[in-house]
Amino acid sequence: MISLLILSQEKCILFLEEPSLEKPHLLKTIAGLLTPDSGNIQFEGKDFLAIPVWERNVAMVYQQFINYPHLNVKQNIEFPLKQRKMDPKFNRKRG
Amino acid sequence: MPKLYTFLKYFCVILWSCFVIAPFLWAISTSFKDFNSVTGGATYIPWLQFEPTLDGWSVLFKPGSQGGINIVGPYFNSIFVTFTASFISIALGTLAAYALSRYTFKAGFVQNNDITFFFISQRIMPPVVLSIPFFIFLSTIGLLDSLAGLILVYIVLLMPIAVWIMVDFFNRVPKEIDETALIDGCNPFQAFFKVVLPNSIPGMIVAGLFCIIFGWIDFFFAFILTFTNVQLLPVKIVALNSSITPWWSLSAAALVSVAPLIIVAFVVERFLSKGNLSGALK
Repeated sequence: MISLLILSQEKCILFLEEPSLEKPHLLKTIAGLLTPDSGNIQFEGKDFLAIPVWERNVAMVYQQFINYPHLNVKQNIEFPLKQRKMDPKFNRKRG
Repeated sequence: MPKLYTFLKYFCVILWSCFVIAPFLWAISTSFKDFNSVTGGATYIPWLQFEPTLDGWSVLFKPGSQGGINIVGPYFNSIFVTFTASFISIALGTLAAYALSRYTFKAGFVQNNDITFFFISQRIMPPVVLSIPFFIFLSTIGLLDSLAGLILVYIVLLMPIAVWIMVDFFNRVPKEIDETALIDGCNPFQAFFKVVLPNSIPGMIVAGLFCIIFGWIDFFFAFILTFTNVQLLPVKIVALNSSITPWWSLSAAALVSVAPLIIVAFVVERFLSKGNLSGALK
């Protein structure tokens, strides 16, 4: 199982291990889907845990492909771009 | 062998269809009879076996002074109360069901499953147990014999059905879809309304159908909690009974009362196949 954590354009961390429970928990904690029992996450000098999930500049790709069944392909691609209130012209180009 | 299987399959379907359709055909036939045709023996085919009349149907629309029961007002009362209570029950029940499906509640030994069972336990109690408390409650707040009071009572009765059905349906929606929506920039409310709810439409349709059916056919609370200002259709139909049971009018009333449910079923049937979640996770 491969997990890729990209921190910046210059730095990324690659996890290469057997499938286990630890990595989904780690990535979900970084994404904000899980709250750690103790400790905190610092990023660029800020307390990452204080930022709600939807405001974090984080993207996470699940091992199994997940889409929104009620949207078509173009709408699936545009959905996160619209939620982040990106330029519609940029959305159309990216979609 | 495949031909025998196909024959048996269609034979069973046709046989069961006859059992289902026969009462409706009997009611339609009887509604166009009069006293002599009903008591004169078993007849089914109009113009061949009996002379059809509109006496049974005209009684439903005549005022009481002319020997009728005039169901128009109670008919629209029933539609308003049933659909309003069902809509509010679905709205509140869906929100409650989503919370029970996605979040963990714990108070001592009480957990999510216990709370869900508490909701449905309201339907286990016999209606007569709730009749006196509802009567006193509506009388205290001045909503006895009113449409608003009936709507309140029906919400209490119908919301457990909505919660029960929707909890099961939300449990089938993968939680990864919620998580993906959160990561894509949706707050929890947006994730619910923009992602989870559109995929739960079949469940809401089913819950809505059950709510409408149970609300429409209720007689007990409509009888106990209303007197003169407000009357619902089931209570008004009972007024048809006299020393001679008017089967022709009762058949017409039965057909009139079941018509909205058939129309609703035909209208929502197309939506039941939407919201296929099989492609959500690959």
